[in-house]
Amino acid sequence: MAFELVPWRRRKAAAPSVWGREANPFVSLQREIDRLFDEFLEDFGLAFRWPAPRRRGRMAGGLLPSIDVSETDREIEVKADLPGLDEKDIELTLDENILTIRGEKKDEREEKKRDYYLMERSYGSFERSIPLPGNIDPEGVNARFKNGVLTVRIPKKGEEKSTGKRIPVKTE
Amino acid sequence: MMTEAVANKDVEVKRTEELPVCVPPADVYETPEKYVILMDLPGVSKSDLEVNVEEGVLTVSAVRSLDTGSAGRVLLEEWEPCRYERSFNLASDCDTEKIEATLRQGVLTVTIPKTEAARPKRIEVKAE
Repeated sequence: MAFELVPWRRRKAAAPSVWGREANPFVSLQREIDRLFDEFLEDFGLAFRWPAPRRRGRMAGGLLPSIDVSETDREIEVKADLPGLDEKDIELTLDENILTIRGEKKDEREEKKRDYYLMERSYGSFERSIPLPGNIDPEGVNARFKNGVLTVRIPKKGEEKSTGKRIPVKTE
Repeated sequence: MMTEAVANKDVEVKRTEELPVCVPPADVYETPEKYVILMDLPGVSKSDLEVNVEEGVLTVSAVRSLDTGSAGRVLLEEWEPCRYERSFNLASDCDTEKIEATLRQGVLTVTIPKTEAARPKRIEVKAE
């Protein structure tokens, strides 16, 4: 998928005005509706293209970082895609079996005056909570951040067999 | 044992070939001196990333490493293993010899300076 490097600003300036050159106002209206529809579908990853491009890791407009959760007998592993963040921008809390990831992605683009061709990445703060099963050990939580992926490992508590107490049945 | 190892390797290779392509989200902007591409590539390490320029087309391709860590039972999976790929046609004023790429915390920054001739120049006005 190749992209022409033509800035939006210039493209808009070069486009004919809706009522000027377009003889039939209904044709232009139809085009505008088609364009809006395409944009809408694309936002939800449903654009009619093949192969359909998949976009991940978008965080704006209430969209949250992608998360994977897996478990083994010993621990639960949570992975979150947080590209472009620093470990100091991430706040991780575990409160009553709810793991909450908070963070703020700062705009690293230094220049103020620019011509944009594409703006697909997003900036701002987000928060996401993940409920965990009850048998976890909050003391042993281990978190590490590498290549824009946060990995949190929460060990499970040792098998507590004492919860099920065997009651002997007596005969009379 | 030997057979098993070879078989596993085959499965791995097959899986890599069949990975679906993801289009990573990107920002592209221009300043008077350069073009800058920022791309989100979470989970990609330097060794899994390739940036090529061929005949005026810049292509970024990367494979997200498939380390699932503990490799346990999946409870929630919001991303699937995929191959990131995206190409950009470069404008004629790009200096393809001086392109720089850096990868930091899952974000790739590609800086493409403009050719000397395309950059704005200040011309000294001399008083007589």
